[in-house]
Amino acid sequence: MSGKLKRKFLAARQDFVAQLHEMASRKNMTLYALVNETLEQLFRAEEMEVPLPEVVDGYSFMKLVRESGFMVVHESLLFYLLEKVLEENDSLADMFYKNGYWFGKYLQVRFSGQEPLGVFKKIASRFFGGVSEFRIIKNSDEVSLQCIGFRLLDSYTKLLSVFFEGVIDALGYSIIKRDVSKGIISLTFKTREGVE
Amino acid sequence: MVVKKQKKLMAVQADLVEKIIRISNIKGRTVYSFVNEIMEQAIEAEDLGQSLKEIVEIYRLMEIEKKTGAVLTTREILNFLVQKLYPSEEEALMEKWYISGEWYGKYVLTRFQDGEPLEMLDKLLQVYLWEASEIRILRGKDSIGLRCVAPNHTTEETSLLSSFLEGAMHSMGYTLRKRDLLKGLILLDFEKRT
Repeated sequence: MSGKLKRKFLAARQDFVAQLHEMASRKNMTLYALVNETLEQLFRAEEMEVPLPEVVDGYSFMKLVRESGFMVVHESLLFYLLEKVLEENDSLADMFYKNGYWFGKYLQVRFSGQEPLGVFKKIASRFFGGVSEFRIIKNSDEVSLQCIGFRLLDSYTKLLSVFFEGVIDALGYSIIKRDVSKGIISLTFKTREGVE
Repeated sequence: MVVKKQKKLMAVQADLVEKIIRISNIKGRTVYSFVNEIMEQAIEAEDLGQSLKEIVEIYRLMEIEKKTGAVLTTREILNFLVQKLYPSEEEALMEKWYISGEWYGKYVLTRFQDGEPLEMLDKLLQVYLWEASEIRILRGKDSIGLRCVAPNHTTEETSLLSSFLEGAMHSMGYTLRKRDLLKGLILLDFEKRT
């Protein structure tokens, strides 16, 4: 015998409830079932110790990087390829720069009217594997970027730094100071004239 | 002047309400503002084209992927690297991908030994191979079929990915019975080792 679960009531903004109601109709669900399912997802996020808005943010950024031509690869494979190719090729840095520049422009277009630097900060700290700390600090006309990843190889650190330079350059800043050593990247940029 | 938004009541399973009240208290929030935030996320998720349930699941899988050492790179860079090395080092690259797959399979098997490792592998591959249009694990009685369709993959990428998948399946206790590869298309059949 399945005993009926007891119900209680929760208050929410009327406009949200109306939207949920529409959503439930589209999904052929009752509002009751949809709200219960939504709350269950909150508990799952809480179990992961991540606030629900961060989970949704994380997903939207993942969608963004996927749509902009990134792919997932295991770090051991990527580092292996980089080490091998770097021995005989110096055009790789140029490619990282160009890819970064393209991604910066992409962010600028996708987030016009918003702050693409802030979006990039969230993406980089979340998705660039091996990076344990990532900061972008904006002070009047200067931007400083700091990235730390103890596991990063020397070669990969340099390439990642060039990628970052490409991104920030595309967003209208020129590099004025560069300090890069194994696992540590510190870059300072200045706004180019005419760029806000 | 602040315009107060009108409220409405929603019926909810009683035990869930108790939990919400408990979490709101821990967070020092009012139940009303906390519930609004949650409902707003459900609406935002829908705007992103997924249900909140799917998004939470994808997020969980992404976090697991990160723990296996997954990183992001652009497709152009990865292709460039593979194209540079593959002609002269095909065998070494295939082995490297196979070993990486073996490790991955072992990780899944160890991490999810209490659950259903194959089902988990299927889910994780959906995130790991996000550029693929289709990735499926077909379960027979003693056999497993693995199908991957990634039209943008080069022939070299297809071979390397197949090697990775073969490694993963091998460490999960399956032996390759049949391999059929075409550019962007992988069809693998395995049987359970006794």
